[in-house]
Amino acid sequence: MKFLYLSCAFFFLPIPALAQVSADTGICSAGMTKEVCEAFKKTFYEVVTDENFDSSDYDGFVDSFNESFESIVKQPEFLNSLLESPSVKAKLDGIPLNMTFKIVDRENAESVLAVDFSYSKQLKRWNLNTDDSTIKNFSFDFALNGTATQKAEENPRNLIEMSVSAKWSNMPSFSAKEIGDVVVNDTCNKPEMIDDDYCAALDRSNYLNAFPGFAGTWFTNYGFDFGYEADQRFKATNRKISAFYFAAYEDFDRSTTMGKFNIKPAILISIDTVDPSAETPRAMAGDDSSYERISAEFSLSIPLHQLADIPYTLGFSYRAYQEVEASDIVKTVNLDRYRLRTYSLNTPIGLVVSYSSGRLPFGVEDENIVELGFKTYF
Amino acid sequence: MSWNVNEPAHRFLWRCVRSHKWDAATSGGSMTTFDEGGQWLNAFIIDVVPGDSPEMVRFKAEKFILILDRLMIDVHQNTHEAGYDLSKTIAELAPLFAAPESKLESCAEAVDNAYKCVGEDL
Repeated sequence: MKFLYLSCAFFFLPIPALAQVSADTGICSAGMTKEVCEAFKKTFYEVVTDENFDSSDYDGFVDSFNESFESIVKQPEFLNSLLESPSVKAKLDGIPLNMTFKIVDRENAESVLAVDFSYSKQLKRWNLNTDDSTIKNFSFDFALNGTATQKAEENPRNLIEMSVSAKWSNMPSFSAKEIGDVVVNDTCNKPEMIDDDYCAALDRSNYLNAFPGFAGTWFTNYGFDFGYEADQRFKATNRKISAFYFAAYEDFDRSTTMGKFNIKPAILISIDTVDPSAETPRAMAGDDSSYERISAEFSLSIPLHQLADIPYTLGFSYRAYQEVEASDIVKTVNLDRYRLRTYSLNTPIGLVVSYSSGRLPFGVEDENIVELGFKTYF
Repeated sequence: MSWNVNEPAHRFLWRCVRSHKWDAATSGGSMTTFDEGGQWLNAFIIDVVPGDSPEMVRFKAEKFILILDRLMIDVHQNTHEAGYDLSKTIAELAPLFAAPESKLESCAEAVDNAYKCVGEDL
C-alpha cells in the first residue's frame, strides 16, 4: 500500500511546496528542481504577457499565477518529467516502483489525471532439466499493477492486482541448435561505429542467422497464482487462487507472413477460485459466496512498418472474465461477466492513442476510454 | 550509470534491440541512433500492448530476455559474468523490462552486470 500512497502523493503536493518564489529576485529558489523552475518561469511569462495583466493589481497577479501554475503542474507531461528528473529519481532510488501520469478522457464525464503504477520481481528461480530443445524452469514471482486517480470514484480502471505466482516455464533452447553464419567485425565493436549503417546491417544479418530452425516458436508457462484484487480504496477485494497457462508465438522465419510482418500473438488462460469481500459489487448485490471464474486474455502486436509503411505498431488486447454457474442474482445485475477490449497505436517512445471498451472486475458499467499518450510525436 | 556509448554492454544492448526491432529502428528511411534508442520504451521492445495484464507483461519480458541472451552470447560472443547463467539473467533482467513505462537506458546497468562484454577488458 506504501507504493500506492507514494504514487498518489503527487496529486496532493501543495503548490507552495513545488514552487517557492524568491521574494527579492522573483527567480526560482535554490531548492527548486529544473522542471519546477521551468514551469515557474513559463507561468510567470504567461501571466505578465496576458493582455488583461494589471501591474498594479498584486492580488490579481497572485491569483492568476496560482491558477496558471496549478494547471501546468497537474499536466502529465510535467509530472512525468519531474519523475525523470535526477533529484526526484535520487529520492525514489531503491523504491522499485514504476509510475506514469496520464490524462484519461471518459465518455460523458470530465477528463481525469491518473497514475499507472507497476512493480514486478522474480523471487526465486530454479533450473529444471534442459534437453536439446527446451529449457525448463520453476520460479516464484511477485507482481503489482494498478491505476490511481485523485478521487477513487473517478477511476475508470478501478482495479489493483497483486499476485505471487509459482510457475513452470518451457522455453526453446536456442543455444541447443547450431547458429547460422555469423560474421564478426571487430571494427563494429568500437563506440564510434555504433550508428554506422554497415555495422547495423551486419548486426541485422547476424540476427536473422541466429535463429535457424525456429520458424514458428512457442514460449509457454503454466502454474498457480495466489492473487489479490482490490479497488482503489481497498474496500472491495477479491482473494483468488488460479491455475494458468500462457503461450506466446514468435516466428523467426522472415519468409512466412507472421515472420515477415513480425506479428506476435500471446494468450493467457486461467481458472480462478475467487473469495470476494462484503464490499464488492457482487456481494452488495446479494451474493457474497466464493465462486469459480474462467479468465482469458489475448494480446496481439502488429507492426505497421512493413504492412502499411507507417511507423506505428497496432496493439490489440482482449481480457475476459466469466463466472462459472453464476447465481440468478449475479446474472440479473450483470456482474457475472467482464470484458475489456483495448486497441492502441504505439511508437517506440510512447503510446499515441488507445481506445478501451468494457470493464474489469469491480467495474459496474461498461465504459469507453480514450487515452492519449503524454508523449505524442506525429 | 547513465546510457553511455563508451560502455560496451550498453552498445551491445542497443545493437541487439536494434536488430530485434529492425523495422522500427529503420523506419522513415533513417537509422535510429544509440542516443535515441536509449529513450525507447521497454513496453515497445518486449511487445507489450496497452491492456495487457501484469502476468502477460511479465511473460513477454522473459521471452524477450531469452532472445536477448541468444544474441548477446551466441552472436556477439559475450559471456555471462561470474555467478550469472541464463536463469539468473532472466530473473534479474525480466522485471526491469517488464516495467511498462521504463526506458531501455534504465536496463543498461543491469545488462552490464549480467554480461562480460567484448571490449570491457580493453
